[in-house]
Amino acid sequence: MLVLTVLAEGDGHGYRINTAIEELTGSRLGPGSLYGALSRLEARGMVEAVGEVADAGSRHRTLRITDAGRAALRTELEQMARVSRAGLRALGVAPT
Amino acid sequence: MSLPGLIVGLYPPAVRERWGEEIVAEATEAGPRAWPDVAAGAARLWIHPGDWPELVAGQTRRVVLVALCAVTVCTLLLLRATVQSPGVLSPGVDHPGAVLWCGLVAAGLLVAAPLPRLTPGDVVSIVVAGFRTLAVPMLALFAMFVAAHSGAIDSHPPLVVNGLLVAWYWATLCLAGICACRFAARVGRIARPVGTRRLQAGLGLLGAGLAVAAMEVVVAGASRSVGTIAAGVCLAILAAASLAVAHDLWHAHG
Repeated sequence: MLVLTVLAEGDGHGYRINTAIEELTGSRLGPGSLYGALSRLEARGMVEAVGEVADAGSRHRTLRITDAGRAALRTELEQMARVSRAGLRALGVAPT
Repeated sequence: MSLPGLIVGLYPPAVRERWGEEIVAEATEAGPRAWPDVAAGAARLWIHPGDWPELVAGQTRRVVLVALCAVTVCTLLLLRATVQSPGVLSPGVDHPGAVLWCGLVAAGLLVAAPLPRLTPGDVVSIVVAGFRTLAVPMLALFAMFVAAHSGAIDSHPPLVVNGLLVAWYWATLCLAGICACRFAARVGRIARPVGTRRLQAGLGLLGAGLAVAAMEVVVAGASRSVGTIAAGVCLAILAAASLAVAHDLWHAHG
């Protein structure tokens, strides 16, 4: 979900995605976790490759979130928002 | 080749081809702390073939088929190396557990085996592939058999000779196992790709067979040495991995 959230803001390759995740959460994903997630998302049609960028002697594949990815991200975030509102209500805290 | 490059070499072929360069770059920059995550990523992807890119039609099924053969070979070598009880390795009337696990594993291999098109070209290709891949290990096994039964080798050889004979034995078995997997890979490229359902069924039978073998080794084995228990644990892990792959294929393809 972190990967889809980052890609919803704009296209990017693995390194840029991980940098954005670090800005969002404070820590980077391990390479195995990140590229496992990218492979899974691409296999399920939630992201697609749109080109390659050469950087410091290595190639990076640029990815874009697909409509299916946006729909899945929205479903997941709405679910989390419902749980968040219910939890805050139970604690007696007004949702912001 | 750097250590990250070696670890990325453990990834499934399609994932390695598509993402390998980027994983190596990221792992190199992240340093040794990230390397366990890279290795864990390889293990996770091997049991989730539904997450692999399909760079060539049928590639995922062919690679899973070879992995199934590799698991079977590892199982046989593991049992040969660690189990002292003859019953576990000798299917027979007196050893129904061995009959069950051997039967399940054999059934799994048969169900998952690709069916060659019965055209002269394909048959010739498979025979040639078999000769090129299996001739050397077959000769090595035959030579070992002849040497063992010829009487030329003393029943209690000196330590050095005994060590060399044991090394020859294990090198021959490992060579035969590797060549069997290579033959499966070549047949997979020649024959019709095995369907996902049959592959799932084959993996399920293999997993069930390995689970029974694990129980047979630990529960029914004559001795519960550290080696026997370790073999049982390894077999249980292989069983769980086989069943996980079957489950993932079912989820990925319905």
